[in-house]
Amino acid sequence: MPVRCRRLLIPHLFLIALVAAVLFAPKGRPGVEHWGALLAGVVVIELLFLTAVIRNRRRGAESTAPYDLIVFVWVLLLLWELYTSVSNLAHPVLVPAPENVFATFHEQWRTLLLNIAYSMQLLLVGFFAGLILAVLLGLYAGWYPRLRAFSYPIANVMAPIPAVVFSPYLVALMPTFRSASVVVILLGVFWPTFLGTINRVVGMEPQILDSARMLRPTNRTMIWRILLPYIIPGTVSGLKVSMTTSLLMLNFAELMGATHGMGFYVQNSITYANYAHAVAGIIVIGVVVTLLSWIVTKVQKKLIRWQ
Amino acid sequence: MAKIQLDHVSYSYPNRGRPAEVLHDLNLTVERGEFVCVLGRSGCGKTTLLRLLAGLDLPTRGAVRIDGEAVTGPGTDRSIVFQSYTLFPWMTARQNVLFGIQQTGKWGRAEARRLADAFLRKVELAEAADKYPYQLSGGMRQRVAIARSLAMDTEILLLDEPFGALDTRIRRELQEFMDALRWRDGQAEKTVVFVTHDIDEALYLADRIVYMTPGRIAADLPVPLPRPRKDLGPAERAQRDALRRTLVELFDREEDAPCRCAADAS
Ligand SMILES: Nc1ncnc2c1ncn2[C@@H]1O[C@H](COP(=O)(O)OP(=O)(O)OP(=O)(O)O)[C@@H](O)[C@H]1O
Ligand SMILES: [Mg+2]
Repeated sequence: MPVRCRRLLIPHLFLIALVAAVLFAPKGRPGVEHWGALLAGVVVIELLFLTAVIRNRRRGAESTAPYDLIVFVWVLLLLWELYTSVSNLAHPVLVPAPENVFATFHEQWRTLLLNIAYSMQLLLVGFFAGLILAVLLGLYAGWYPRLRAFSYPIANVMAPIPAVVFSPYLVALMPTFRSASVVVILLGVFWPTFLGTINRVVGMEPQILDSARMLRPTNRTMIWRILLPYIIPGTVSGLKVSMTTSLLMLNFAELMGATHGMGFYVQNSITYANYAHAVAGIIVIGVVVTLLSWIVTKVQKKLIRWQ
Repeated sequence: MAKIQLDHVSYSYPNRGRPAEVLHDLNLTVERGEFVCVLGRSGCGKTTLLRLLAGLDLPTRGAVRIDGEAVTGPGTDRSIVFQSYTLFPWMTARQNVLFGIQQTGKWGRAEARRLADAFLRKVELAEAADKYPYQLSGGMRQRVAIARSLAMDTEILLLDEPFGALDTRIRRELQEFMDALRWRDGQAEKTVVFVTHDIDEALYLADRIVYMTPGRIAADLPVPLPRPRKDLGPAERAQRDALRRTLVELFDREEDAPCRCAADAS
């Protein structure tokens, strides 16, 4: 029990320091007097931390990660607060105070959500279209030698070219920005996945292949009931990386010529020197990426429960 | 007509460099309903022989014939249990057996399910039916593979040391079960080629024992013992012991002159 208390003590000392800094900061900088959103944000983070601790204890796993992480977060916020609001050392426009950034979450949540939704739509359409197409064509190309013989060299040339390289050109080429972004993401996911699928099918374990051949499957049965499940673990394990790369490509594409989206929001805020909005946008992108990886991990566990 | 016929069969693995001949001019005839055990030291080509019968590899010279027709690939008239247990890791034990049964196309969905469960029960894995292969021990996986193979009810059964990983009791039971499956109205229907290291297992199961030295068939001995062979009379036991001595001698002879076989293979 005393060990547990000490563990909780240190994060909360930092928390108290942070709250004190926020409350007693001189109100010289613009917007610093609106500290309500920041404190609300602190409460949300604290609640998330406590939930993690309780869940940890229920599972009987005494991981130190939540404690260390929360200390890291409080220290970061505290330093930020000291550097901006308290001491006023930082440039008042270029480096927004935490109060400003959290106020942005409060004031702009509708705009932020809209932009996220817009980006997510493009991301998911491009990503899943690329993934499904690549797996499907990869299975057929892997199984039929003639298809493989001609598509493999093409894939080998295309796969290593980063999709971001031709995204400016695609943005110029395609009728709308939306379609261009979808195509950039699709291509970025398609070629590596296609190549990987062919390689996995060709490199199938000989024992599994022999077992399958002994059962005289039709090509259809072979592809859907043997090859597809066989390649799923390999494909899925690369999913997190390709999802993050897709988001990267999308945000990059949004920097040129988009009218909505997370990348656009950040870019636009910087153009108008609204750095509090820019920082808020960057934080939101971080949260979204984290959520996406978390979902992908859940999906992975479900899909390969036989391993 | 013979069920299985090997006609001057030679085989070399398609290796880079010089291809070494693993089977050399084999001739063998197996009649319908016969149970043939293949014995021989490790590396003499037993698995290779079974792969040719299965149609997974094709002879480099000569022909493997089944019912008089040259084998050109795997067929649903044959099933095999591999030496290393090979189940599909993404299917549960039941799904593995069921998939095998469905591939034969002989039964409807409900009947196939019933059969799958019946065969899993036979190999004492009814409780493990919904487990995935990674959750099973080596011996359990091998039993699922055996269940799949037997449940497919093929005319020809090819087994590569199927009971190697099993304990004595279940081994005995499966031997008897497999033997029982072959008979219909007092007539053996299934043709079995069974690879083993174990002389006693061969003597218990086989109608004929084929002894291989690297690449060749060195001896082909009939086993004229009555079935069931659990309790043999004294005269028959003497006969069996004589056979066993012959086989032990075959193994020993190779031990003394290990180079001779390699020399005449080249
Ligand atoms: N895929 C392969 N490529 C090349 N050579 C092989 C291959 N598989 C087996 N061989 C060789 O063929 C010979 C016969 O192998 P095989 O597996 O048929 O032996 P076996 O009698 O089944 O042995 P064991 O009792 O150990 O299973 C061996 O000398 C082996 O080295
Ligand atoms: Mg072998």
